[in-house]
Order: sequence, then structure tokens, then C-alpha cells
Amino acid sequence: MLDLSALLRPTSPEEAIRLFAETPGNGLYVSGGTVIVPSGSPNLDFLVDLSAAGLDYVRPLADNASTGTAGEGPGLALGAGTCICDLARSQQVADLAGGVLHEAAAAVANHTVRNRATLGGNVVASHYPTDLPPALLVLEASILAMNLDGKREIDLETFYTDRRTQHKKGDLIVEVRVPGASRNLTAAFEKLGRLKLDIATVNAAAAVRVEGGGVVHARAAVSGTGRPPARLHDVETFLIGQKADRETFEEAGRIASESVDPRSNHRASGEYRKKMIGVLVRRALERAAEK
Amino acid sequence: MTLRFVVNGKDVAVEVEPSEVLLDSLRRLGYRGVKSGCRTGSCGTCTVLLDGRPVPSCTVLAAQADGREVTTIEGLGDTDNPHPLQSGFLRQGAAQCAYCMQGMILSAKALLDTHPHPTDEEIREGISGNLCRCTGYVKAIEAVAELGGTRLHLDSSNRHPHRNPGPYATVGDPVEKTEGIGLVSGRAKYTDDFAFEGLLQGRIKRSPHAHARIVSIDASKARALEGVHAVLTCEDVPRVPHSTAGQNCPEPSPYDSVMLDRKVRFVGDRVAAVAADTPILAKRACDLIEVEYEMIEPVLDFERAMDEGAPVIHDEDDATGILDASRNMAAHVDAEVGDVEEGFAKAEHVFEHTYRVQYVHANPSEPHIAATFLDEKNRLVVVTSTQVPFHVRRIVSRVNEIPLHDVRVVKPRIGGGFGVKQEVIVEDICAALTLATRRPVKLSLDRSEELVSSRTRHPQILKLRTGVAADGTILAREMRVLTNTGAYGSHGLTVPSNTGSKSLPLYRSPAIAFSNDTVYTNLPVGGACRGYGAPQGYFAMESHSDEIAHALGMDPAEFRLMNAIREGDEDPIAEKLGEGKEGFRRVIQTNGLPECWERVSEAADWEGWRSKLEPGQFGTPGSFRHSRVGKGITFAMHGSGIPGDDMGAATIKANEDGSFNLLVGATDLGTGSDTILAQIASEVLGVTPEKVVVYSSDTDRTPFDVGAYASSTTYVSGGAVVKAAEMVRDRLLVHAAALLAEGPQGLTCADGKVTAPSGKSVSLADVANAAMYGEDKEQISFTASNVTYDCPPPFAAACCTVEVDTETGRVDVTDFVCAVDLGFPINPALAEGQIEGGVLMGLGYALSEEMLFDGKGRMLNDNLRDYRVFSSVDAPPIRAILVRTDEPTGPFGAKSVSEIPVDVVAPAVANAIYAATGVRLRDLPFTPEKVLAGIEALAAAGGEGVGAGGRR
Repeated sequence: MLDLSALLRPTSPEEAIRLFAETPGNGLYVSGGTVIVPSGSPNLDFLVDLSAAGLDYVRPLADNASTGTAGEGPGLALGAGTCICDLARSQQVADLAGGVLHEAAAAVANHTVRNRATLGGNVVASHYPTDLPPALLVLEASILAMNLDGKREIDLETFYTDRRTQHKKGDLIVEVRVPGASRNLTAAFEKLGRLKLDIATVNAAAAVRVEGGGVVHARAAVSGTGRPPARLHDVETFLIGQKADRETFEEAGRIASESVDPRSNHRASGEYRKKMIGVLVRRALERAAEK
Repeated sequence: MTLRFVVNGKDVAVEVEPSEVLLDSLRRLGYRGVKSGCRTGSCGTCTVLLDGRPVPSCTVLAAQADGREVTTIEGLGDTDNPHPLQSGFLRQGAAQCAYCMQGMILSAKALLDTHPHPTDEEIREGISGNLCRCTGYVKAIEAVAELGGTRLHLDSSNRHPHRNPGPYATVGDPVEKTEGIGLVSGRAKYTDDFAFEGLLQGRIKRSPHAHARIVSIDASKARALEGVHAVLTCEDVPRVPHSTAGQNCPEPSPYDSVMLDRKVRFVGDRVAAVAADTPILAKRACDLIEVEYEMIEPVLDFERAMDEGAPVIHDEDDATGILDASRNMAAHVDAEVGDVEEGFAKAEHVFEHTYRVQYVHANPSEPHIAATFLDEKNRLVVVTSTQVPFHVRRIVSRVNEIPLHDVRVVKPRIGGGFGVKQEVIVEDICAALTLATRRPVKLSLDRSEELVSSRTRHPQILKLRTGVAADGTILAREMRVLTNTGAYGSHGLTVPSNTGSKSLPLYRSPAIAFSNDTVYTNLPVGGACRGYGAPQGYFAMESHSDEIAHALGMDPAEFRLMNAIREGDEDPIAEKLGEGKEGFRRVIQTNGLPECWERVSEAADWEGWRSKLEPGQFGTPGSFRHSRVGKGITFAMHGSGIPGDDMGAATIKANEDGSFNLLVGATDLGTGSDTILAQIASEVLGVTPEKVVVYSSDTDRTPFDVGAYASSTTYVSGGAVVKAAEMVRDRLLVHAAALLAEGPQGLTCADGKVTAPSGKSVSLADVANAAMYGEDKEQISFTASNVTYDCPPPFAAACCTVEVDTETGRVDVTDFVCAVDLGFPINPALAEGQIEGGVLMGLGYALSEEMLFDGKGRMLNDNLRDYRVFSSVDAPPIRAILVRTDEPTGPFGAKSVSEIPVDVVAPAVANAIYAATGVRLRDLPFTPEKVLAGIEALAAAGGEGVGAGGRR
């Protein structure tokens, strides 16, 4: 059980980072609490609760700077405090890139947990494979982080590959941004567990744009390797220029499998995960291309 | 900090600690319908609506609810004014232990608020955060569907119609549970719902090591902590070797446990106990106890436990009843009828296979919890979530060295047991803390402790060998078992005895041999777990049956039917293989197995599906490209109570208005036995069930009963109720005869009155009033006991349909049909609930549940996120079919129903996977990885199944 000396409840992100900096001891931000509260971490002195900090929103991305070329329609700005259930229910999310983020959100835990767990928590949680990161990676999402020095936008892939430098103690993730370019893609999410309602053994997402029967854009990402969620660049490179057919996607699955080196744990062996990543990436590609 | 929020429409302000979770604040405020289950947001017993949305209140920091609206079950409706969901859940028989139902009903309400007409999928999704361990979600889903006008995918045409199948007035009716709306409105009192003045929180300091000697314990810092009232180590408590198993005395399990020992034998074993003002203080105190351990090499592989030179786990000199402690052998069983070697020699074919079953946990929604206090006479009162109150009284008295008459055990409502609460693992030490502090103490296990430190289903390795004649007739059968009982030998003799005695008689064989070795390891402790050894035995035997049938080219059903035990047959092994000793002769008087199979075969379209297969073909196409569909079947028989051992007693006293008090030792742990026993009494007494007020399981106030185990309550305790009710009725008839001025001959008691052959009648109320206040005053009250030697088996047949993803190995169960010959269904709705819940528990055993350990004996998945039980979205439609046979030895023809559904599941799944893919799995559970490995191995071997290709 937690043994906190303080729980702080800021009403803005600015206040949150200030309180975090000012409070002595070891602290964390908390939102839905579905990971931190049950952890019962004995080393936590304080929590900064974000649930009243105004980070709960899904809206068109106003600033077009990060949305790619004009004419694609706006991207989405997703408040880090948005609960997974609201993501799963959002029409704006469902309409984006074949609804990949909707699929991933609907696959998170169970109905009641989704009412509490938030986007921000799902992106930063790292001790088991969460479901949103692969979907966000294939949409080339970025995160808006904030600290006392100001705000900065970090590409999500960079965030995962270089987390130590990108995410310092007290840094607050306020928003996830999905670029408008993703409106030109179709994407799908795949998850595998022992049961339907389970923590993923592995999961994967893929996004494609097919023109004239050929793949002109491809993104693939996985989680559940025992390492941070990651894009599969070998797969993406291979796909460009290929025919969008079963053989291509099967080969892409083989490449996906070869390009990962997952760890073993009590849920599955690394060897099994390696194979399954091939299957899930292929299935995600097939479904994405059919959308 | 001050939390201001609205609870059930009322403004509330309360001071909360920063770490406090909403669950605890609400319970502190008196909203006791909010239940503590896992504290990780995984089980949903603590679900409340936060601004209209269901959330797990155990993961909401109390302060986060500031300014928000919370609805608890109490806000939905109450006995006087129930919400339609509450009355619907009760009417459908959806509520068994109901510990999870308060939360589930709130989730359902939130669903209906946003989706007034939900689909089947939406209902399942809507309650997916509420894990239920008693039911198969079937009746809950039906209750929600009824309100939402939902069309369910489940084909209910094969289900038992909810009308009385028999000639009786109330027996056979699906009457609502006697607890009424209170059960689904937060009013029913579980152990944690009792308030005590000056209550202290108990906590156990547990071993981080699998095998170590305690060199020294220094509790001085913990004792010095303010708010800590007692710290108990092995220096402070009596050392009384005993068994924690709640069995008849003397227990057939070894006396190898003491309250606190100088040695720890598994990760999670007891080291010390603390009582403090608050849970957090108790935890801090535990952390402050300094222990120096001398490490001993642990025994983690149970196949090596008996090896020469293996570390000795029980090297203490005061344990008794251990077969051979020096070789880590807890127990051994041997039984043989006929000459198996001769049978094998005569056989045309001899088949031999080895099966393995894993560690799993019963995992009731409510973890173990006890509260103890000293009453005004300084007697120790134990309120506890137990299946065995009378065994608790005896064991608590013995290990604390206080007289039995100074102990009273009260069983309140229980949040599920399934065998794991047939064990004394919190009461003894909670009592010791009360005796040390002279204050009330509550001790509850958290979910991790529940999984690691309570009791498990014994893992086993089973070798089966069967000799058959050319036509498939079984000539000889042998079952050799190795059982892992973990660190202590609780139920270590009797569980494996039942592995053989429950399964082996199912098929006729002139020669049968059974043997078992039970070994100790430095891992969690085995115990009773729904099915009690039989699910292990059936997994092996019914997988083996399928393997034989396929090898002989026979229809698996035909092979089973031709060899199955028949009505009038004598159980070949019952006398040789009893409850850890010799048993009693058993002749099968009722056997509905053929009808069970006929109904299952029809409901599951067994013939139709098989006719689609080419000879040698595995599986039919599924719903997606790489999927194969298969069906697998299982037969089973079980028992009804422990013959010659189980005794149940009932007292019935008449009140002057024609109502009755029924006092039973029998322990309703959610199954509905209070309701069943009330129905039985009311039938004999000729009144409606609500005229029978049930009070159960209080060692001061009710007669003895062994408790709720061994599928015994309806059959054994129900028999006692029949006898007591007949005695009361006969006495009432004497008074009625006087009132009617007729002889007592020919008087009947029905419809609330006594009627003479002449047609004259008098109301039961008048008779009872006359008995109490008339000429010959007396309190009509009788106690009867019941022991039986028959143990009539219920029979079952099942068919499981799976869809296997041949690329990932994931198995989806899409349909499960199970028919049980239960004699006569006293309450069909409750009986179906037992089948549905048993099947779901079996599916977890087959596919998802497994306690996993690292190389040091630490459990890796000691929480409900990683230890996966079936949720509502994972559960298939489960179709329960009740087959009636009218067992002459049972009350109103009843046999048992509660355990047999678990027996049929794992082998049916195994056989279905084989039918779908050609892959034979002999090692539970069938994780996707194992299934895929099987598919790949088959392909590599050029096998006949999916791997061969071209057969799709």
C-alpha cells in the first residue's frame, strides 16, 4: 500500500510542474491511478494528481506546424489526461486512419479500468506492454512535454528510443499529437494474450497507404518485446513499392519477426514472441490494406 | 485533507489521508456494499459509479473524488425499493456468493443508462471489469438482457425450463435465494462488514525465502512503534503441531504445521504476526521486524523431492502423520482390484500416456478474512469466512490451548470458497493476536497473500495405462500419480485418493490399480479445491479415453458408452479406495449418463459436426483464415459427500404462527444451500419457503455439520433437514389430531394446513399456536443428524467447441454444453448456476490459469492482472442441462451437482483441440505458446493434423 506524505491537486499543468518541483522527496504524477495506486510503491513520498489539471480533451490540432502538408485535414490533439474509454468512444479517433487508435483503446484492460486509465499513463507505463503505443507509433504521433523550462514536442519514437534524455524527473506529458498526415493512411491494431481480456503477450500495429495496388507508405510498430515499443523500420523499408498483396505482407511478417529480439518472461518465451510479431504485423498489414 | 463529494445524492465531507483510496473512504462512511477484492483494479468488487461511470474504487485516490458524484450499490435500491437490476439478478439466480455482484450490477446500470438496448457483446463488455468466480456470467447476462430486451446468442432451447420438474410443492422450484434483495444491495454482511469497537488490524510478516531456518528474530523496533499492540513470533505462541485442513478429527492429513515456526518452507510462509491500529502501521511494523535467516537449498522440482540427498523439508521432531519425512514423502496411497498385469497380458492393445497438471488457485472473490474478539464473558468469538466453522472451532481451540467451550465460531455471508476455505489459515493466528491484546483483531489476506499463502489445487503427474480388447472393451487400467503438496501436507493424502476414487470407477474394468506418492516441496501448499483431486484425474483419464478411441478408430462417444458404468453395477474400487483409508461398498442406483450424453450430443450437434469430417480429417474451417474448429467430449461421475465420514445435523423449531426456525451447521458459501435446505424443510412441513427462517453455521447456536465440502450439503445436510422436519411434522400432527378430534393416522401436512382423510382441516398456525399455548404446551423442536454410506455419484457429459488460431495457438472456446444427472434438482436455477460456474472455473484450469514461480520459488504472477481468470468477454455461452434420475437415497431424489462440472472441462478442451488440429496436449494449461508448439511439432513430423496441409 502507498504510504504518501502528500497528494497534490493542481488545476493546471503549469501548477502541476511547479508543485512537483517544490515538493520534497520522491514523487510521481498520477492520473487514473490504475498502475501507480496498486503498485503500493513504498518509495513514493508524494503524488501530483493531474485529474483536475484540464488535460482531458480530444480536439483538432490547431497548430498545423506539425501536421505535415496542407490539405490533409487537421491532426488530433489528445489531452494526456483523457481516459482510454473516451478515446475508444471518440468519433474523431474512430475516423482517423481506419480507427487504429480506437482499436487499440478498446483493447486496453477492461471496461471499468478504461474509465480511469488515461492516455498519458498508457504511453509512459513501461513495466508491461500497453496497447496504445504501437498504434500511436504508426501514426507518427508526438508528445508535448512540459517542465519549468517550457514546452517541447518530442517525436514518440524518439521518446521511446531515448527515454532517459527525453523524459526527466518532473517532466509532464500534457498532450499526444497525431499529425494530419495520418488521415491519408489506413491502419490496424492486433493484440495477442492468453485470453481476450489480458495483458498483451505482444501487440502490433501497421499503417499503409496503397496507390494503384502498390504500397507507397508503410509504418509498423510493436510492443511486448520486453523493450520499449518500437517501429519496425526494416519492414517499412521493404514494403515501399511492393504490391499490396498477401505475399508481400507475408514477407513483411517474416522481416518483422527477424528484426526483433524479444525477451522471455512468465507470459511467453522470447522465441514465441518473435514468431507472433511476424503474425501480428502481417495481420495488421492485411487488415490495414483492406480498410 | 478534506474530501467533499456527493454519495448517492447526499453531500458528504470526510477527512482522508493522502494515500487513502476511495474504496476505504466509502467503507469507512458505511457504504459496505463496496467490497475489497484485489486492490489492483482487476476484479471489480469495489466498483462504484464516479459521475455515472463504473470505476474500480480501489485505484481511485480518495481525494480524486473531490467535487464529484459517487453512486454505490446502496444508492441504487434496497429491500423496500429494489432497482429492477437488483430484482432481476435475484430472480434469474445470478447471485451466488454475490461478493462481486454489487459492483457488477452498478456496471450493468451504467451500461443501460447509455445503451438501453445493449447487444450481447455490449453486455459482456459492460461488465468486463467485474470478475465473478461463482457463476459463468450466464444468468447475470440474462438478467441484463431481460431489462434491455437483448437477443442473446446463447441458444436457450436446450436449457432446463424454469418450472418445477417434479411432483412437489416447493422442492423443484427455482425459488429466489432466502437472503433476498439484501444480497444484491450491499446489506448482506460479510466478515469485513462487521464493526468492532477498538478494532486492530492484523498482518502477517511472510518469508521472502523458500527454505530457511530462522536464526534470530528481533521485534523490538516493531514493538516500540506507536500504535502497535502485539508482535508475535514463534517465541510467543504455543507450538502445537496440527493440520490446517478442515477435516474430521483425527484429520487424515499430517500434523506438520505450527502457528509460527523457526523454519520457513515456502516464499510466503508465516514468520511473525502483528496487530496495530491501522493497516499501514501493521505493515510498517512488519517491515521493522528483523529476521536473520540461514538459507537451505529449496526443493522446487517435485519429481526430485524424493531423491537421495534432497534437502529435508520437515526435519522437525514433533510432526506426526508424515509418511517418511526424511524422503519428503507426505503420503502414499495404493489400491488394486483384480490383476492388472494379467489384464494387460490379455489385452489386444495397451495404451500408456503421461499427463501433467499445474498449480492453480480457487481464487474466491473475497479473500480469507477473520475477525476475533473476546465477548463479555471473555470467550473468544471468531467471525470468519470459512466453509468449516466447526473444524475452525476445534483447531483454533487446540492450537491456542484454550478450551473448546470458550470458542464460538460464526460464519457470516461468504464471498466464495471453492475448497480453499476448508482450511484454517487466518483464524488461529488472528485469535492469538486477540488473546495477546485482549482486543478485537481483523486479519485479511491481500490478493497476493491469497494466491501465494492460502491453498492451491495440487499439481500432479499422472501416468495412465489401459489394456483393451480388440473391440475396445477395457480389460485393465492403471493410474500412477505423483502429487506435489507444497510445503505442508494439508489434504495431501485425501486429494490424490480422490483423484483415483472419483475417476476410475467411471469405466468398467475387471482390473484397476491406483497408486500415488505425495511429496513435499518448498512451494505453495496444496489443499481442497472444487473437485478435490478429481479434475486432475479426469483430465488424465478422459484425455486418455479419447486417445484410445482415436487409436482404435472408434467414435469417442461410442468407446465411452460401451465401457461406462451402468445402473446396478458395483463401483469396483470404492471399498478399496476411500478417504485416505478403506471405503464403503457402493452400488450405482441411478445413472443418467446415457441421457446426459444424448442431450449433450443433440445440443452440441456432435453427429452433425462429425459427419462434416472426412475420415482422418481434423477440424472444420473457422471464422477466419487460419482457424480450425473442433469439438471434444468428456464423461464424468463424482460423489455426494464422504461416505461414513460426513455428518450434518439440523434443528427445526416450530413457532406459534406456523413458521419455523431452521438451524443448520451447513455452511452456505454462496452456493445457495440455505435456500435449498429451506425448500427441503418447507416441502416436508407443507409451508412456503419463506415460512422457514434459516440460520446457519454458528457453533454456539446451530448443530454440528462438517461443513461445505465434498459435494455434501444438499445430499448429507439435506437428509438431516428431511429427518428433523419429519419429526417436527409428526409432532404437529399429534396436536392437530387433538384439534381435529381425529386420530393422527392419515393426516397430511400441505399448503399450510393439516388435513384429515375426512376432509376436515386446521391451519398449521392454529396447530402451532395450540402446541405452544394450549393444553399440552411444548416447544416443538427436533434435531436430526445424517450420515450416509452410499455416496451416489452424479454423472455428467460435456461437449466443448473450440476455435483454434493455428498461427498463434490461441484457443477460443465458442460453446460449452454440460449435462449433469443430479438426481432431482431441488432448485433448478441454483443447480444451473453451479454447472455454469464450475465450467467457467474449469476453463480457466484448461486455458489460462497457472501459478508460475521463478528459480527461487517466488510466484511470478501473484495478482489478478497476471493470473488470468475468465472474464465476461472471455466466457463462452455455457449451456447447462439438468438430467433428472430420482436417487432413492437422496432427499427428494437429489444427488450432488457442485463439483462435477469442473471435472469435465479440461479434458473436453484437450479433446476439442485435438479434434480441431490433430494436436494432443497432455500438459495443462493450454497456453497459446504450447498449442502452437504442438501444431509445429505435428507439422515437423508430417502429422495428420493442421500441419500436414491440404486438409483445410
